[in-house]
Amino acid sequence: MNLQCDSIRKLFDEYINNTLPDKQKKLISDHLKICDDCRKEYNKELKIMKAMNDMPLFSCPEKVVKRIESQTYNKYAEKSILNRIYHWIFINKVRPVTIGLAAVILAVVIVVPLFHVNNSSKNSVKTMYTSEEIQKAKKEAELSLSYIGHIINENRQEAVNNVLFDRFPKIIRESLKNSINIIGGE
Amino acid sequence: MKKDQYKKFLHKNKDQVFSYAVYLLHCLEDAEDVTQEVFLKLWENWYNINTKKRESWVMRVTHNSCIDVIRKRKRIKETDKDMNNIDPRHITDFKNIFVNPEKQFYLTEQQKIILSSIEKLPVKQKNVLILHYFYDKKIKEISDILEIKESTLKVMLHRARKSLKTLLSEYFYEKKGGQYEFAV
Repeated sequence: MNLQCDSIRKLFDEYINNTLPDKQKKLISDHLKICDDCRKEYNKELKIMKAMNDMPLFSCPEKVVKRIESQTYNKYAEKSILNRIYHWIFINKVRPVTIGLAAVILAVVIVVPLFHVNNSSKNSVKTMYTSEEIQKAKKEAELSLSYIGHIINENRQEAVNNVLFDRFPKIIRESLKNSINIIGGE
Repeated sequence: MKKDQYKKFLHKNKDQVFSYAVYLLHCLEDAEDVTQEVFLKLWENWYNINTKKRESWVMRVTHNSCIDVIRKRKRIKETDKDMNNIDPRHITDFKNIFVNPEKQFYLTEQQKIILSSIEKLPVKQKNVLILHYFYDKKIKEISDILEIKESTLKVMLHRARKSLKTLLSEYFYEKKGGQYEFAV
């Protein structure tokens, strides 16, 4: 057996299956005409391959198919609707989708009221005081201030002696003094 | 729907999976277990598998679980050797398995001889032979299933054929015109 025989025997499988290019096919068929050893080997392999190609497929027993069916798509067919819904949501492949949906709904429930509260508080500040009301309040404040000044003017002596300089803290005493001076000056 | 597609796929491929397991394991009960396991795994991973590669995925899983069974058997044999108490199921006397009137498995004598000599080959070569010749799979498909390069597959196939031929050589006799026949 020379080198050529060895390399040709490697290609028998493809030669028998007819998947070789024409050049190599012709080379092998020419060689088979010449070489006795290779022809013998080729005939043996052909016999074995034919026998192997005719190997039967065994049919899978029915009991196995039934066992598979009962554990896959018929597993939840006999159970209640609630069970099936539970399975669909939590065990099937829909799980990521349902979790995502739940997260979105939670986010909406939490975040939307927050915005709502903020908006309403801003609105209430605006609506509580109109410009007329502010002017009214200003007028009232001026009136009450002048009234206080009037009282203090009337009882200046007493206020100075009893209250202002004895009992209040320093800051208040000074501020009151200032206010009295302003009002008194007018 | 998943259910309809799965049902279709199951009834199309169950025989292929089952007989691959039978050819590899030479035991009907183990083959039944393997088929069940494979199709349950398929149901669980249905959406994770590319629809085009579903068939080769199933064959690969079948192959892997068959090899698991073979490994388990080896372990059992090793531990039970001293006890002299080997489970008769694990002795691969397939001639009794295939002659089963209930299952109606019909094999010719030639095929039985070939199967018995394939059983003597190493597991890797056995797989390649079964996939390539019994199932008519192309080398590219086999390389998808077994995750082996095509070039190494070709070499493995060549070696397997060579050793199969030497194993079968005692059964051949020469006819007159240089033709060979099986002697049974």
